[in-house]
Amino acid sequence: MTDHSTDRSRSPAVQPDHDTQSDAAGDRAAVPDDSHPLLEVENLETHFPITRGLLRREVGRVRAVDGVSFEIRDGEAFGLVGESGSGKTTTALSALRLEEPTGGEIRFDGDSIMSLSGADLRAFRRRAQLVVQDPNEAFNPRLTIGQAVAEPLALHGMDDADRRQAIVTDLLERVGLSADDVDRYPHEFSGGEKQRIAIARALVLNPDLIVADEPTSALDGRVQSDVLALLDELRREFDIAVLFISHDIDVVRRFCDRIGVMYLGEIVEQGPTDEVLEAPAHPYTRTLLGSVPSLDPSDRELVRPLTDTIPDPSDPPSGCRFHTRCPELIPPEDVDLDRELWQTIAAFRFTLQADELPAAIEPDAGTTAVDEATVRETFGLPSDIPDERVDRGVDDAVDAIVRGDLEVARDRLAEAIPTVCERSTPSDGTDCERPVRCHRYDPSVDAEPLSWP
Amino acid sequence: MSTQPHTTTPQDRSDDEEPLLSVDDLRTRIRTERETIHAVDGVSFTVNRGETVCLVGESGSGKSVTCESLTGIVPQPPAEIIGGTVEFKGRNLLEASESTLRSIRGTEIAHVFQNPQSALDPVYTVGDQLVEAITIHEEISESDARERASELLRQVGIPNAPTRIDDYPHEFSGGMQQRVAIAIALAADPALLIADEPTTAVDVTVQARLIELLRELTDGGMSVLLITHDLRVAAALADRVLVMFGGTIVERGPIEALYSQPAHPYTRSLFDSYDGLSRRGDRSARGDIPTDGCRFRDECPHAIDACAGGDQPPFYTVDDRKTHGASCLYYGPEHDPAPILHDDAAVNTLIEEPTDD
Repeated sequence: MTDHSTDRSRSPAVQPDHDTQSDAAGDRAAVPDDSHPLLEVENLETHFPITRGLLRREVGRVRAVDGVSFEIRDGEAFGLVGESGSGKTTTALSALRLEEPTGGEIRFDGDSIMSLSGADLRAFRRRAQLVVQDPNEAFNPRLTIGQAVAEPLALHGMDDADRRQAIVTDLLERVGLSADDVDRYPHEFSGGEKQRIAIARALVLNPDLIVADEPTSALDGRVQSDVLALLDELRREFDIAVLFISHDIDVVRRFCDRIGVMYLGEIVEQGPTDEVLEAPAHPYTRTLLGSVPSLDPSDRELVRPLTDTIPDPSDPPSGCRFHTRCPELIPPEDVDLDRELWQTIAAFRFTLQADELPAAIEPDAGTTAVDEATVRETFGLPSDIPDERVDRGVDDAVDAIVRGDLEVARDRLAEAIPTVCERSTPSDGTDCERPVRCHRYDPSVDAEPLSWP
Repeated sequence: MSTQPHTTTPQDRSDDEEPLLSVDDLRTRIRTERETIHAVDGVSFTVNRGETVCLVGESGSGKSVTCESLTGIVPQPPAEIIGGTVEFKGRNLLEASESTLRSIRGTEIAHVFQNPQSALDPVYTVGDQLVEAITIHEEISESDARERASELLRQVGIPNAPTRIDDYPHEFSGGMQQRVAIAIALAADPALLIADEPTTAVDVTVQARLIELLRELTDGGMSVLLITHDLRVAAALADRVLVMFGGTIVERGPIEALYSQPAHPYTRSLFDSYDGLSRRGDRSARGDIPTDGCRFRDECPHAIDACAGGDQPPFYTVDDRKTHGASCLYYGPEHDPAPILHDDAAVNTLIEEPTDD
């Protein structure tokens, strides 16, 4: 550490009014609960138009983020987890107005940022910094890392070069590099080091919020662990809130205080990290967690959704967006089948609907026609189902497949086994101590949450 | 919830069975303008028929260079294979001619990589590419080859195979592209599939299906050499594990033994990185890895003077299990591994106590 290290107590002249925050560093309980959250996101929508033709006529919309609400308190780490296409990155970029939201409200420190522009928008972005996944894309190869880290200071009006230098040197040391590194170029550093430098640069303006989009995904093993630990240490020390985007459950578990699980543009469940990961309530969260292999090699079970096809975000399924894949799909009210059989029948219906035709029943799979027995065997359907209406529907669908009329089979199944999950859009249920967007947690729906595991 | 249980193949194979692949003291160095890297520095292991062996380590540990050295696909130069033997079905691949190697690569040993695009040509339909892979190795009519191409797509779980066969690679999702790449690798019915981080670029629900696919292939008798940095993926697939660091194997053993009692301090640090947020000490991030003795010693909290110099430490058995060994002096006759095994509780909390079998 140099002598300047103490200068950076809470820092660069750009923002003297936040100097006092560092006193609360590491002491999360000190944050008063009645204060407004640092970041409030309400019913956020970011839709991208799909255009066609010379006139770029809008023919549809990708609903990348579609009604997302969450809040982050001072110093809190909130994680958004989900798979590709879930909308988590778009949510994060929208929260910084790096993507323009098409609806909803975002408040930062109590004030709406939706209509900020010019100097006000710049002032907001000084307080909310972004760290991206690929450290190679984060740096101009022609700038030394000293220049790269100092750049935001100069852009935001710190003219004193010596002061800039002192701050940069101190920050680089804090992230585990040395003062001698300021004159080196990005290519001289490893991926992990570059990500440390990116973190230093995000900190240089003394932000209140860091949005970190998969910050450790390009790293593995212990390097990943080190960078994550560094980010954790710094955010506690400077009491910085973090919006953390990740697909990696292990990373989220270690870093985040609370998480939201995203699927097709919606948060399906959110709550304290431990609670969500140890007792996942939404069937999608359960499917996600059950797909992660156990570290115990004697436990090799992997959860399987009803179908593998992820629906198109420009045309998400009606009702609950997960219903086409949901292993916990709610049966029709008057149908009482054992769970496994119901799952088999539901998988039959949505596999046909998703056009995931298994080899055995493909229309031109072979010269011999598909017979009823083959269809039933392929889908594991018993010849007799102890519910008259469902039994008839399945019989008809099987017959239609044998005739090669898949359209009729699909329609017949949709008619015979309707589900509330398809019919109506769930709101955040109240049957759980945290918001879960699933009909099973809605007291007015005749279906109980299933136990886990 | 529907699940697919998987039974592991027995780990204790009879010793007299000839391994399919036997690698002995493999050494590959990479020369750059500035330095010479001993990327693979005396690596020995075997793969039996129908077995999945997993090479685990971080980026730069030498696991990919090891696998690319086996069939000579590592770019030479800058790489140079400077020693060892790679015996596959009784012949030493390191002495084979380039044309022999090329023929073995297509027919008997297939590679699958992290990025399926590297195996797929964007301007040809997947059917064309499959037919090409099939007809290179087999005298077969075009229509029979197409029929077989459909079958391969079905085998790797691509729905509507007869229709999808005429699609281009970009019309498939990432997970489906990896399935197509695996189908091409399977075209010649190889005895050994070398899969380098095959699930790293896909989402976990897709990864779960690829894991199931790889299990089906080994259940069908194929051997798999799997390279991964992900201890979870290894846990899901491996019969045996080799842990690599600094171009050497530092620990090896049956998956259950190694995961329930990780022995080498490096292996233990890998498990630690799945839990907690402890930072390593002030290890220099740019420190060069030693090229003699124990390569991990500069980062090892238990290192002693004897860890430096000479060859890497011999493999001492861990826990009296003959098949589980660690290249660490603490497991030798003159030392006691207790300080290592009691060093960190985190390792054991990750693995649930085995339920009574």
